[in-house]
Amino acid sequence: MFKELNPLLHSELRLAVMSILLGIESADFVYLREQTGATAGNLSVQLDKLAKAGYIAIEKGFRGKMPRTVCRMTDTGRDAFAEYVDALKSYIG
Amino acid sequence: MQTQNNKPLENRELNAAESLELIGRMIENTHNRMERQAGLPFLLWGYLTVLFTAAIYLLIATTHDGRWNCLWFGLPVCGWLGTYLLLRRPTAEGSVTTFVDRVIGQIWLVLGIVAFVVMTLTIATRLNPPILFLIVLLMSIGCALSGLVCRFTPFVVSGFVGIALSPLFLFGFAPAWHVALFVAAFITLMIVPGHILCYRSNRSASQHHV
Repeated sequence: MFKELNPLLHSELRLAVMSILLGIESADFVYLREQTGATAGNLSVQLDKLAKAGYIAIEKGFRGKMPRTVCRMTDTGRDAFAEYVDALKSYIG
Repeated sequence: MQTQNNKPLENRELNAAESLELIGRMIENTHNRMERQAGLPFLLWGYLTVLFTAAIYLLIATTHDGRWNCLWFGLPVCGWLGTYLLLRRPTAEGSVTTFVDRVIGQIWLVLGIVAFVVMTLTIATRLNPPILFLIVLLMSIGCALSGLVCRFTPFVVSGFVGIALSPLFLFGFAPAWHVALFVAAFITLMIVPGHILCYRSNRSASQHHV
């Protein structure tokens, strides 16, 4: 039987961001934009959605004189990602 | 700006196979990434140590005044300040912190504190520990651990060579020989592998950026 896929993660850009953050401690906005190729505006909206769901934590600060946004995955995000991968397996296997 | 397969990611829904492929690709890209100029902190500490060693030796040799040894306290100040400035500079590729980065940072923090304590004991007290032996041993351990954690063979090799040869400083050679050995140790431990790491990380970053 197919499990329901979390609609928040079942979007290309949000899933890419969560996959990047899964294996690291943190990444900044520039790195995520570089890896996904998304526009800054679109990426910003999707990060906000993930943050509102509690899947990622966003810290805003400065690096030198440049503003810097750092994202990291939360425990809630890790659990949601694990459930999403489990659900995916029911489609594949 | 494009991803590895030259296709910007959007908000479209994926099928199960595409989702798994995307997850694998993103994890792989991040795993294989090396920060451009990753060897700079090693080069900074290596060159600073060589510079301070040569300068302090020449000052003491020409003036015969041991108080010049207090200049050693300038090495960690310059090193930590330089490292702080290096790590906070913005890069075009953005920055990412991995678990490996954090482990290596903690290793060097602990070893740096121990080296500072040894240096303070040597300069400020009459305990007179074998400082050159201890510093080279500590730095060799740091290089070997860093190389093992990030799987970078030149640091593993230089670290273990340093550990094996560090007891040479316990022999009673002339001071000039000790200084020459100390400089050679830092060139072998940090400067040569640091340049190799910078070269490889620049090449890797350029390939990822194309």
